[in-house]
Amino acid sequence: MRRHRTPIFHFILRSVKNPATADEILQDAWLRMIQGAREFQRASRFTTWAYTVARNLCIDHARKAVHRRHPSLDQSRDDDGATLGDSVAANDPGADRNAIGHQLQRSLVVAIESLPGDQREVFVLREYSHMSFKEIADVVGAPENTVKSRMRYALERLQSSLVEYEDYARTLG
Amino acid sequence: MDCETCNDLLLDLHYDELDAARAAEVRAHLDGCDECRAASEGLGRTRVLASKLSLPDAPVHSAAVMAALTSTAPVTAAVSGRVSAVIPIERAREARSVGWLQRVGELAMRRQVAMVAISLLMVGLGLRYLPFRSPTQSVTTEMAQPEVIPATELAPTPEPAPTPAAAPANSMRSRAPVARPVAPAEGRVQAHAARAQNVDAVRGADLGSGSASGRSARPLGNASSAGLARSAPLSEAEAVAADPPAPVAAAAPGSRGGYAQVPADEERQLQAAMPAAPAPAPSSWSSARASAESASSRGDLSNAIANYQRALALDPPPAERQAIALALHRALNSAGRGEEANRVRAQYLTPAADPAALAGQVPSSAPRTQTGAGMVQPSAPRPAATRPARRSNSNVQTDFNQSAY
Repeated sequence: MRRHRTPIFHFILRSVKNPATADEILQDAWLRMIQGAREFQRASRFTTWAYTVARNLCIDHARKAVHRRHPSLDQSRDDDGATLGDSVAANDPGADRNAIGHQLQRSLVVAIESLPGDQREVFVLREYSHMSFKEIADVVGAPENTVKSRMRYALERLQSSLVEYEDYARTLG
Repeated sequence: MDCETCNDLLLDLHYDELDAARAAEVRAHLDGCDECRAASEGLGRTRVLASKLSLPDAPVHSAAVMAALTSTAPVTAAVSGRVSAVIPIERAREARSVGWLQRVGELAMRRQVAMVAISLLMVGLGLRYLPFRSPTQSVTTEMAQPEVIPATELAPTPEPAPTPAAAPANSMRSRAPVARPVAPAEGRVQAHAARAQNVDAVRGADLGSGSASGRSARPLGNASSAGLARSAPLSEAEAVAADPPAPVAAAAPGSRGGYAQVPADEERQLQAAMPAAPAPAPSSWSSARASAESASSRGDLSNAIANYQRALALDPPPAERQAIALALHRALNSAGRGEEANRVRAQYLTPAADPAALAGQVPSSAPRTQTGAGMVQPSAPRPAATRPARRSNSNVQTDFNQSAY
């Protein structure tokens, strides 16, 4: 569970777009996993089961959040593109954005969160949780080819959103 | 490989989900196709940019929550600030472990299960105690239980025993003791005699001929005969002394001449309970007859006569009675006791019994008033054709079986 903590948290965070909410949902996910440990089917991987639990909680939260509109820390609040999260002191190691500029980080977050939900979850699971397309298909409950199509669309959307960083990417690659 | 196929496999190539051969084919196609190679390079750059996104670590307090979750302590709201997180983990585990037991208990405590269990219990008790107890079993069980009566309680009493109430015909309840006033001194003896009467009443009622009351209300004559009902087979002299000779017509139909029927095992127990008996007398007519025949073969006529008389007194079957009487008649003639032989002939033997043996004998008209000392007089001598055979337990069983079906 400790090994999956950060990827799952990131998956939840990219879904709910709020670190505090993501933390609550992560705790709920752990509780569900512990309480349902006996019902866990050994036939499936723990990773698949854990992400399925987290995803279901994210969906529940999205349904409840229809009538609640809270500003997201990563949501731009003014014209210069600064988000609410930028105004909050970053006190966790995940906020280390020195490896790449703040601009790229914000652009990446905005681009990922702007993806449709089905494409975003597939992209996050494949790119950051390093799950295979088959496992992603098990989590989201869709055929593997559909997952690949969603992934392809997500990459194309990101490519178009990050076109200004292509030269920078070439220098890195 | 065409471009469409290569385009479909680009994702698998970038995420290393192709086998080596297939990946080599895709790379070969990419080397020769600029369009596909451009698409592949665009995907690669996007992936490079996406990989530069630093993943935020999970909040630190999530580790504390995980430690609390994995421990047996309940997760408090202070850890995460959420009231909903207060969950007694250990209690939840215990609830899971006893869940199956609770389910079994709930199933067992359902109303239908309880009703079925009670029904089965009632049926079982009913099969055990109430129905299907055949009359044969009940009577034989009752008669197979001997009751040892001390010799002191068997002493004859001068007071006459009251006549037992008529037992209801064809009813198993007739086996129940009849309530009547009983003196304390003779209570046990009378109760025992009453039980024998009731059993006999059932037998008489089940014979199906005549009125039930006439057969079941069999008088015992007097208290002495009732008291000697158990001692007669043991001490014949006492029986003869206590039972005065009665006319033949005085015997009630169905009676045994005042001798209540006693089961064989009960007789044996009573015999064992009588240490004062001078000599072991034969307890059945067959043994008495055997003793008489053996004595006759030895030439001991007096002993043979005594045993023959004892066998007659023990109420043998009619056919046997006639044979015994004939043997007694011959023995008396051989002993020179012609008068007694004539009495025996008059009492027991018909003219067709043994004409050759009886030829030349003078018939005697003096029947029973001349009872010699020491002669055993049957208490209720009757013609053999009208005297019912003494029933054993097997006879009783047969009667009950016939009446039951």
